[in-house]
Formats: sequence, C-alpha cells, structure tokens
Amino acid sequence: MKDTKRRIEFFSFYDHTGIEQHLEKMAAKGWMLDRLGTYLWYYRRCGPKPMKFCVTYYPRASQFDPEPSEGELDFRAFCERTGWKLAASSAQLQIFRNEDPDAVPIETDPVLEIDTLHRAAKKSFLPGYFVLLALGVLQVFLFIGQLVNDPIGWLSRPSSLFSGFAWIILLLLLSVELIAYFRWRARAKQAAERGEFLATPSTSAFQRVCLALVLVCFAWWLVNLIFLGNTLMQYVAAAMLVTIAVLLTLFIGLKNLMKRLGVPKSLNRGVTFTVYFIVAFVLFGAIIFFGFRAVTSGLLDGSIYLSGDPPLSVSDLADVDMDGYLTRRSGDETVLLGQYEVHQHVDWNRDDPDLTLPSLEYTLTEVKLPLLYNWCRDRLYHEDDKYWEEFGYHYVATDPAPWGAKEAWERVYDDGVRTNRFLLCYEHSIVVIRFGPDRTPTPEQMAVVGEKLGK
Amino acid sequence: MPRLKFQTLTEQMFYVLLCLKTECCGMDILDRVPAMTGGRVSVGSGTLYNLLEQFLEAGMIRETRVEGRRRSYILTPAGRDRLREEYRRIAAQGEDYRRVFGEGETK
Repeated sequence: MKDTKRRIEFFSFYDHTGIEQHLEKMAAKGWMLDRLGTYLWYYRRCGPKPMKFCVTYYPRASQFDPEPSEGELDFRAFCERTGWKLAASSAQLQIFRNEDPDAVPIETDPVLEIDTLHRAAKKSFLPGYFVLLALGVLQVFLFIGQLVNDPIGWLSRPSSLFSGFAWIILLLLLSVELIAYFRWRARAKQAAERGEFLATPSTSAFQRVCLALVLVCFAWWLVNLIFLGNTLMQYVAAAMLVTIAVLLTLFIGLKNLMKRLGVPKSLNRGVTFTVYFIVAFVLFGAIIFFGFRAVTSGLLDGSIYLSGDPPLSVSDLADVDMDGYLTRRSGDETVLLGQYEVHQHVDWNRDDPDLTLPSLEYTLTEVKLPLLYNWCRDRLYHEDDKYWEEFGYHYVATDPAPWGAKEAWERVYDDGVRTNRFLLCYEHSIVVIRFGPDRTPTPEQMAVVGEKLGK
Repeated sequence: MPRLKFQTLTEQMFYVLLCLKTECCGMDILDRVPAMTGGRVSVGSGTLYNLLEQFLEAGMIRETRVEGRRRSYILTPAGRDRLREEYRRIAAQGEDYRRVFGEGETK
C-alpha cells in the first residue's frame, strides 16, 4: 500500500474556500497534504481524522525566494501561536492546518482578508492572466483574419484548427477566471462592510472540462500530424514540442537551482527570465532558420504529400503511361472539412519529355458538416473574383448531368473562350477541376470524373 | 460605502491598540484581547499580523524590541490620539443611547 499520493488539483489561486474544503475531505479520508509541487500536490497517508485547514496569503513572498523571508517566518510564528501549523506553501499561497475544531480562524477581518488576497493576486496570477488574455485576443484576431482570407484551407488544417481551438479555450478559461475573481471581490467587499466573509467561487469543474477538451484535440492533432502531415510539419512540430519541454524544464530547473544556492530573489528572477528569453529566442529562431533552409535546399518539402493513388488520375481519362508523369498530391482534413489538391503533369526534368501529353489539376473539397456546404460552394465560386476583372473571365452555369453532379459551372473568358476549368457540386463534395488548355473534356471523361470524385 | 482606512476602528483594531498602551509582544496580543474582553473578541493571527504592519505604516505604533520571532510594540502619540477619538465616538453613541432609552435601559 502506498503511503504517498500525487494529484493534479484544479483550484484557482483565490479559491481558498474550495482548497480548504478539499483538504479537509482528504484528511478525513486519511490523506494529509505534504507539499505543493510545480504541477502536483503531494499527500502522505495518515489516520483519517478531522482537521481544519486555512488557506491564507503572504503577498510579499515570491516563487524566487531562496528561503522564507523573516517577515514570512514571523507570520508563520503568529499562526503557530494559535495552533495553526504550516501544512504546505507555494510562494504567496500558505496553507495551515489545525487539529482544534474551535480554533480562532487566521483571518477574522473580512476587509483585511480581501485586501491581503488582492495584494497577493497582483503579484501572482493577475499579471500573467492579463498578458495571456491580451495575447489570446491578438491570436483570435489573427485567426479571424486567416479564416476570412482562406476559410476552407484554414478549417481543413488540423494545426490551424487545433491552435485556434486551444487559444479560444484559453481565452475562455482566462475570462471565466478573471470574471469569477473580480465578481467575487466586488461581492465580498459588500459582504465585508456587513462584517461577513464570502466563500470563494469554484471553477475547478470548468477547468477540468477545458483541459480535457484541449487534450483530446491535441491527441487528434498529433494523430493527424503523424499519419497525414508532411515531413516538414512533423519535424517542426516535434522540434516545437521538445523546445517547449526544454524551456519549461530550464525555467523551473534554473529557478530551483538558484534557490538552492541561496541566490537573492531579484537576481534569481532576473537571471531566470533573461536566460529563458534568450534560449527561447535561439531555439525558436533555429527552428524557423533550419525549417526554411530545409525547404529551400530541397531536403524537406513544405508540400503535403499524401501516399497512395489519387482518386482520379490522368490515366483514368486518357490512355497514357503514368511513368512519364509527376504527381503531387497534398491535402488536409479535419472533422469539419477536407481539402485535397492533385497536380499531374509530364515530368519536364526527364530526357525528351512529351509536352503534348495531357495534364490534370483538381481540388476536392469534402464537406463533413452539411451546414458548411453552401458557404464552401460560394467561397469556391468567388475565390478568383479579384482576378476576374484583370483577366476577364467568369463562371457560367453548364449542364451538371454529364458530370453526375447537382450543379456545374464552367469558367469562360468574357469573349466566350472556354478555359476548361469547372466547378462541380456533388452531394458531399465540391470539385474544382482544371484540364489542360485545348483539352475540352468529353462526355465519357465527365462521367469518369463524376464516378471517381462525386460523393 | 467602503471603510476609509482607520477613520473608524473595528472592534479588533480598537482592542489591538488598547493592548499596546504598554509595551507588548505582538504575539501576546492574541491572548490579551480575549482575556480583556472575556472571550467576546478574538483576533486571528493573520489579521493581527496585517494590522500590526498597517499600524506601523500609519505611525500609530512603533517597534520597541526584537527577540527572535518576538517583536514588541507600543502605542505612539498618534495611535493614542486615534484611540481616544474612537473612544469618544463610542462614548457618544452610548450617551445617545442613554438619552433615548434612559439610564435604566442600559442594565
């Protein structure tokens, strides 16, 4: 039987009521809080017993303190005098326990309690939350910009969808935390004027749901990346994950090392942040530099190559030998949309390439969420609007029956010259297909396209 | 309306200052206040620690001695004035009560 236990706890910094109730329940079950780690709380087995806990805050404490300051030790001595023994602490957060059920609480003045908590909050979670909130808002605006410019591509890319989703969840979490805290503070101040204490709100259930959602999405993104992502993205993602792990370890390790060496907190803070930002700059810079070099040198290709045969090949439409062809097949897929591009053309690098052979290009958009269908169709219909005026072409409706489609349009120049580019709408997919110049598809070829790409 | 700092003293503030008429170790106030009030008023250790800091900052008390973790304090003239003002305010309230209900009602 294990005598220690580690748990991830989901408590807001300010939620002293929730922490106290939780620790009292744990003690009643025979688990006493031992210490607070960076990510985990540590418990040790004890006989089940009733125990009172009191969470309080010492605003002048810092996570960079090598030792508790004289003031902090004085504060603890005061608490000990009334039977409150320190159970664990982490920077400003101080948790005391007392076996006496009738012990005088550590805080007996609600006004002072709110003031102390707020001073601690301003030195702990509030600055970080506000910075992240600003970054989150900026990110969401960037995502909205990308979504407006290339919505189908954006909604088809797992990495875009995952990072967008993760930032939105983070933004939501931060907003809920800040609103809950400031709302509680305003109400607690009113209650304090009547001499009453107000219990803090708990957001732990919401935090759990957010973390679970992000983890599920992360796993899904990882699976997509491993099985469908291009080599460059796989390397970049792996390097990013390693970099984040290295930076976290470096920050915590360096800070703790300097604490053990007794380095003063201001020096520790300065050195830790400076080293952290320099290393972060170097590592992320190296990823961008080597990623760029890998693409420009041809070591890795930024295109997303998919294995297997494309759903429709030139050989399905004409009697040609595919040996002389190059096929580029790229694409991405999410739960909302999938978008794949196929380019097949004669390999010009070969000796004596036959340039008279046909080429084929098409974009297949699979709409998995029916709500998005009309919107995707309209986007694809208008995607080249900005070039229309310059090149003088537009879509005209054409008979969808030979394609086996619901709707079909062909792009023609304003003077009536055909471009052999078609927009075809099927039940769950939309196809933009481009045949080579002067290669107007025959009814047989149209039927093959419908059979192969129509879903 | 929010309470202006030390414009009126809470019961706990009043008794903490009262304890410091003579030099007293901060921690001993934790026992002195309940003893002085017959257990009616208690001050929490965190509250006392913060009050002493704020009184020091406001110049209402001064530190007289430090022996290990034991720090002793005494009321300053400013603190004494503030305490006297508070007494007068409370006494005036008592006077008003007696005037309204009569002396017999105070028993």
